[in-house]
Amino acid sequence: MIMEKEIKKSQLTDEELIKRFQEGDLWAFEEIVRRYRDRLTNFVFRYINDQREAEDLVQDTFLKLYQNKHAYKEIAKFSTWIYTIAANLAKTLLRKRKTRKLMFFSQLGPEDKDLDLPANERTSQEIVEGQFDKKIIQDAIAKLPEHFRVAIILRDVQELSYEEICNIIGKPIGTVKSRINRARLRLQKELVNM
Amino acid sequence: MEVLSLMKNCYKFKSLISNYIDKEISFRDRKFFDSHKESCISCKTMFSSVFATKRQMQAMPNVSAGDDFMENLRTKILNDRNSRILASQNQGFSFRRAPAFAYGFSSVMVLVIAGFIFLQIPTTGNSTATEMPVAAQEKIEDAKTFQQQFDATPEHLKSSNLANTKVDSGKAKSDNNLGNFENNLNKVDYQKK
Repeated sequence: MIMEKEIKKSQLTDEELIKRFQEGDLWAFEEIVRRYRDRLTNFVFRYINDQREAEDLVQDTFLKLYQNKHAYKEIAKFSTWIYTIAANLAKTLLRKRKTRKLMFFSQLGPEDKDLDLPANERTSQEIVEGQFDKKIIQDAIAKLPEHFRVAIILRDVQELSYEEICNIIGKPIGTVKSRINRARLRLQKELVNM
Repeated sequence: MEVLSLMKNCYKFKSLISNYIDKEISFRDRKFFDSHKESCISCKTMFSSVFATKRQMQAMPNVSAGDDFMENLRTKILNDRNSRILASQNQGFSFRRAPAFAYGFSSVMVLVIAGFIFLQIPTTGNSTATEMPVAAQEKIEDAKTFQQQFDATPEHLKSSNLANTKVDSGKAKSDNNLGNFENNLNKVDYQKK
């Protein structure tokens, strides 16, 4: 009986699951968490570049979903809705981080500040073939401006469609396409400089 | 002129890289893209590196949630629920949490009290509440008139005519009332003072 229920649950679409959860079925909530926890953790980690914080933030995303389950209306895809919540939370976290950093540096004297030395230059072969270390790529992504970063992660890491990205970012398709193109070129520049 | 045209083409080529990679390019643009890629080495290098990086990004290992993710989430949800309950208990009275019928009830009460107070206020300008009743005024006047008549009576008649005077005091009152009206009033005022 339980096995049957499990199989049935995994066959349900996201929208059917959230509907069940809105009606009070906690099993549906657990299934949603099971489906999205890794995808969202990966997305948030690429965005904020910290695994522990990413996991914490994804938990907050599910907590928000739990608290505001009735806020979801079936006019949008569930996946884009939950990605939007996670992206907004990540944005808030980055803003807080920036403020913290600014406060920290404002408290330091001029002699305390370190100079950023450029890392070793990549070989031309590496650049042409795009053979960069995964860590270097992750660091280069972290250096991109926020609006480029979220767009390129959703497209090239999460492999979402342009339409889905439009819904998550809340911008028209032309803007999204342009951002992704510029983000890819900018990322290349960052990789060469690193 | 040629350099300017080449620069223009390079700019166009760069703007089309993503469309080409995502296969969302028109036939005309694709033709231009392919021909420029063959003629411009720097653009070709740029395209190769962007394409390779994109493939590498797709191949990056997925970072997944830890084993205790579900447990931590449950704890978070429980903590949040408890803190909400505690907060609502510790808040005491708050206008925000007062139900709508409480507002309705209190406004009705205010209206009733205001109406009651309004009805108590007299509508005429001159108040008679502090004035002495007419019957009491007449009694005082009678007493004064009797006193005057008694004082005017000679001493030898006072004792014998006392009863008659008392009997006639009603008549005397009516006779003297008009004549001595002002005089009486003055005396009453004086006594009051």
